[in-house]
Amino acid sequence: MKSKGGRLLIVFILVLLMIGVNYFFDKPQVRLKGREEAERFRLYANPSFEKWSGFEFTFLKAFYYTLGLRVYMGKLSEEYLAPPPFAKDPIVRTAEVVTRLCPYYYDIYYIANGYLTWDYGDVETANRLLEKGLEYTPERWIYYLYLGFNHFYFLKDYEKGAMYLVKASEVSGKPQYAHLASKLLYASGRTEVAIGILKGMIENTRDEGWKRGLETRLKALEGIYELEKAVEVFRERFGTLPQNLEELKNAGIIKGIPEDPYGGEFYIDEEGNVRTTSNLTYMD
Amino acid sequence: MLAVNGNVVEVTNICKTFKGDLFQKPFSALKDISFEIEKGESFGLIGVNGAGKSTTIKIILGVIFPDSGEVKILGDSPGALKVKKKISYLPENPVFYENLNGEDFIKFVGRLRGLEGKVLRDEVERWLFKVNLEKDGKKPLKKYSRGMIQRIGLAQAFIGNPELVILDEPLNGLDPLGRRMARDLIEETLRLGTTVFFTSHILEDIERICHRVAIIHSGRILRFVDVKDLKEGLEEVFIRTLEEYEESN
Amino acid sequence: MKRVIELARITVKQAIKERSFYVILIATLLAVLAVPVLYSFTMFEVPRVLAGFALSYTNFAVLILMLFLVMNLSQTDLDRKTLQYVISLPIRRRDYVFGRFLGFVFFACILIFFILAIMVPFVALFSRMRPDAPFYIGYYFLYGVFLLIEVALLVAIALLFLSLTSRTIVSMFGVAGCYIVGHTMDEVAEFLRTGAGMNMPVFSKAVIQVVRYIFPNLALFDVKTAFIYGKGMDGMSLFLSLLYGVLYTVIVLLLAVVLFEKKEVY
Repeated sequence: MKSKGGRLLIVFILVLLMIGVNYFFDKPQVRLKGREEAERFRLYANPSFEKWSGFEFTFLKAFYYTLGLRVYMGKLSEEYLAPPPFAKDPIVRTAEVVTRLCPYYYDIYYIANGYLTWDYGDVETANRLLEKGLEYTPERWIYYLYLGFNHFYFLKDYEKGAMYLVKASEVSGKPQYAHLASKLLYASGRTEVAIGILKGMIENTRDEGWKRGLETRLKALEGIYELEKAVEVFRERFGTLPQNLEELKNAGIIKGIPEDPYGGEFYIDEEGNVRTTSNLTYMD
Repeated sequence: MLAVNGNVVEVTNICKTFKGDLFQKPFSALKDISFEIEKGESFGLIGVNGAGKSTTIKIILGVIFPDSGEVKILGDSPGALKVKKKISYLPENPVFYENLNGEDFIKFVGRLRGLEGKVLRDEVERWLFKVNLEKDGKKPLKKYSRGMIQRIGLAQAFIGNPELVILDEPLNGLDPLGRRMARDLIEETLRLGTTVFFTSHILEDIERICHRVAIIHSGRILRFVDVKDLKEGLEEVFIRTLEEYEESN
Repeated sequence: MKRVIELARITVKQAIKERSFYVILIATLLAVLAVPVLYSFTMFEVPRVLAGFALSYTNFAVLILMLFLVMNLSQTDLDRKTLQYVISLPIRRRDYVFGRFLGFVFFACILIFFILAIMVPFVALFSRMRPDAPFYIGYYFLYGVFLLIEVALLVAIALLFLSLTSRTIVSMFGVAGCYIVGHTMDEVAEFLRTGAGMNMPVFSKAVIQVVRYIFPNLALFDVKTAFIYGKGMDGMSLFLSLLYGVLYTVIVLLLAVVLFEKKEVY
């Protein structure tokens, strides 16, 4: 018959062993590469089936699938500098299933919209998703903000963009978006509008990682904006466009050329627009 | 194997307090219990509900452990394997695994007691017959009536000829014929030299079968009674003992 | 050893005589009917969809039945106090734990085998009719092995809880909790490493780390995706996963035995 102390010791040793085994086998063994794992998303049954097989737990499923997508995109970001093409299908599938499971769930909208517009150029799908979100939660004015941005920045549809911005102001009660809308309808000031909208999005994003992405874009756009203003000053002073950005510095209009946080270089094109070699995505 | 002085059971100064959980205060079930049972004796433990009978039995079996004091069964500590090989137990209102049929169950117990092969099969048949269940051996226990369960419980208590048989309210749930059969079985096993320890509410049965009785109340043994020397009924002695106890407290 | 076998034998007998065993087998026969239906609805990669269905069904059916059996046992032993009687029989306390464990694992073997034996021929038949993706029959049975390890581990955990508590409901919640934690742990750990997880408060991260080191990582045994796509598997990692399962199960079982030796069985 073991003494109480003896038994306690044995229990303690066993628990330590357990922790040790967990520690030693820490690395997950069966790990797929990013590209292979994309296929896992094809196993999603169709959205209706997912919904009814979720019974009372549709929200949990929505949450769980969204989490799965985020983890997957996070893993990809370690292997690839920018979201790779094969990741688009998982994103779209997840978005369709999750919005069917629980269309009130916000996170999937901004995640899907973010990737689809900036990284995959599929603004239509992104807009479709946002419209669906609005059907169910019309009070979420941030969707109007996103729609406005998408239309004006990507689709160059300035009128529609302005319309959405005005709606955003109406629903949110924040007048700054309506002001931005009126600016939109002028040829100039569009970068300023983009900056204004981005700031609105940043304010309303809880996800730190996401916020950082938006802040990077903001920084790039602010750099562009500063250069655009300098170009205007140059034009007024000298009557022509500068040949390159160095001339702005030489003319004393700017002290230095801002840095593109994506690693590219700002330049000025023949029409006098300020662009960047990075095109606002990370360069390989 | 017995203790030096031929005692099958030796209980010395046992105390047991059940620690209350969130909802109950600690409960002192046994307050200094001592008794001995000699080989071949038929010993009864009587008391009202909650007096401490079942607790005592569980300590003897090694199912729970006393806070202080010592227990020796056949010279060893309760719960030791060699002790368990020689004792058997029938709980009060027993619940056995209901999916098994009577035969499987008895066979299981028999095998654990060391019976095998043909001897095992014969013994199983014999005991099913003795408790009147020879036709019900293949039925699952969940189809047994209360009385049948009690009878199969007796069968498992006696198969393999244990040296000490512990029975907690063994005549519960039996009809008069069943009770007679149970009494006969107990008497038969006593004749073979088995020691029997049992508890019961029914003082009549105790009077008939036991040599000696301990009256337990509120965790204490109030009195030992030699049944043979009794001049009045056991019931009178019992009630009187309880009354005396109540008065002095 | 003999006593352990006796207890294992009685455990298997009890399990086989459970009506639910037959209910599950019948349900499997019905589930098999879903195979041709799935087949006609699937656009592409038939073998993969069928494999997904068959493996998921097996997983679900086995887990449900084993959970039910353990719960049943717990109710009889703990709630209805049969355990008090059983340990008064000529067995050591450790024989009870090992015997029950062996019995359950052996029964799980039988169960998994039967379910796969019913499912696999159908799945193979339809997979061959349109083999637009590769598949390997052997994987089904290899999956059975991994499922068995997971079940063995969960049974050991259930026995550990039985040694700790006297109430079935606590054990059941305990096992269910370990199951959920065990499966989500991997994802959560990944989540912490990348993206938004980096900004969680230190306290939450510490809690998650502790949980990770104590709870078993059950996701290691969920090789369904890897099997279906025939990827991400090599002998070494599979072997390590199995080894992990065996080691962890042994430790948990030993823990259960140590705790059970001195448990007061009220």
